[in-house]
Amino acid sequence: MMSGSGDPAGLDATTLNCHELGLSFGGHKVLNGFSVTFAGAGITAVVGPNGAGKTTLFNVITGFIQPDSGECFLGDKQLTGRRPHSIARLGIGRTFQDVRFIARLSVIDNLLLASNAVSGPTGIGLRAFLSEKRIREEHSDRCAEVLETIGLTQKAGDTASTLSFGQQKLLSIGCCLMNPRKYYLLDEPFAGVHPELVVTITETLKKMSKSSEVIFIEHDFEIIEKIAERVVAIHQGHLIVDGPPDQVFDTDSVLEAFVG
Amino acid sequence: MEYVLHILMLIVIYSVLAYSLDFIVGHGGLVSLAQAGFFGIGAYAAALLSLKFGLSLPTVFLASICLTALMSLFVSVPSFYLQDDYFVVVTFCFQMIVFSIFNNWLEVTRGALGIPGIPLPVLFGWEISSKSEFIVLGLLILAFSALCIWGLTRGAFGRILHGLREDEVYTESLGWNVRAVKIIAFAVSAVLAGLAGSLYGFYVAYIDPTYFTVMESILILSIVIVGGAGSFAGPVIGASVLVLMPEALRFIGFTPSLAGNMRELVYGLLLVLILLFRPQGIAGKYDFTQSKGAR
Repeated sequence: MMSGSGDPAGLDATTLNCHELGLSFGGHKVLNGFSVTFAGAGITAVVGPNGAGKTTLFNVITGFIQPDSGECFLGDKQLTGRRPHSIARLGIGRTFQDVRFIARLSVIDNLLLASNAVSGPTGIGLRAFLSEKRIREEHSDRCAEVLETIGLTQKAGDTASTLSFGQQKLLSIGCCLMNPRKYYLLDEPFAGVHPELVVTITETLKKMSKSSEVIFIEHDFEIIEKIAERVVAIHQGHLIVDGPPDQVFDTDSVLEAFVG
Repeated sequence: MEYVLHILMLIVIYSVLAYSLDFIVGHGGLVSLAQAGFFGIGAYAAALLSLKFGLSLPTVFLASICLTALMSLFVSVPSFYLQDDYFVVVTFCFQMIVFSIFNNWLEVTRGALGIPGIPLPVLFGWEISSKSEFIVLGLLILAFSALCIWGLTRGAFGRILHGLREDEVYTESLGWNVRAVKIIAFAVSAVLAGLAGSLYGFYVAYIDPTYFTVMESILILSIVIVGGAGSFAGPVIGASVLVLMPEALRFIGFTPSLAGNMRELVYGLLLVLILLFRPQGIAGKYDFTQSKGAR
């Protein structure tokens, strides 16, 4: 794990480096010279009170919002200025705070939609025009593996809109999992989920972190202490503390930011 | 018999147009009022190229394909930046501009005078002259269009289009270049509408701008909605209903001038009824009354 800011030169290809990010909405500074570096392994929790800039940070990294100042790099590749699909193809997958998937498609079709994303150099390669049979054959093993991981094997043929909220969250994580990514940015994966499914999501995140870094936004300190190896605390667009959970949660500035 | 064949030919042409529009509306969720514009571009391309340059049917079709695909960029590029109602306004503007060009570029299109005497098309030595021969050609183009749409919507590309329809932001987050998808979708849609236009130009042998107004675009959209957006049979069903309906009014005893006005009235009424009681259309899957990404 690394923290702080720095020049992207010399960082290895899996390092995600955000440097001096600044962003304002209507005069309100959401990110205010925010810098952080991720090493590409383990599980990191991003914490902070509402409006601290956590989701905005994810949106900036994944290209959905361009910062007013500062840059993000994945290794030596600049992310800032790239379109979201291009950043996803560089190896940064994400989920959203409002659970997103294609409601009218089946669970398996949602996974297939996600799995094809890595094909072709332009983001819409010739493989998008392959026969459906061939696509299903090529991805059947991976789909089965992901369905088992997220515990939705029995629901594969169901229309996604019929799933429970927790299952929908798992599906959105499963869609992320269909492609090998260097980073998975998960926005509140545990929020509003039944305790039974919390266990499934926890196990899924652990599996994901074996070959990638999982960065997730969370408000529940108990969950964070169970699974996160590192905590990045944000307040008013600043990085206030960065370190192991026990250390971060004992910090006065974190307690002050959360409790007031 | 000639009358029946003419009605059949209109159903075939409007079916092709409905397939072309349904591809972006029903599958991609991109409502467009520009379809009559592409229909007109195809018709004028056929008229001018065959009259002035004596080009053969395959060459005319090829030129129509290239021209309409190129012109589709005027609609697809704005769709990168505008969504929903704002985008519909852009397609409406495109339609109006194209109509104005047909109506005012007198040196080329002869404006309101139209272009008469479009020669009969010849396909590899086969001169297409009778209505039944035109229907055979029309059915070939309809089969080609239906096959294109079937192929493109059944596999991965269709899934991406559905993703675009339901949630563009999410689809892009998965790694799909949604701009490229839109360029391809609009080009395919415009090309098929242009082919229908070329066929129509050869069939009627005379075209003028009044055939390609925004009302025609609305009619094509109505066909898609009535038939059922996003379904394979919908375009043919919608075209059959909306082409046959005014003919039925004729037999009820309305005078031709009254029947024309009644047509608009009945179209409006039918659309309201469809949206109220069967929002997915006769054979459709996509409910227009549901918002994007509705769970």
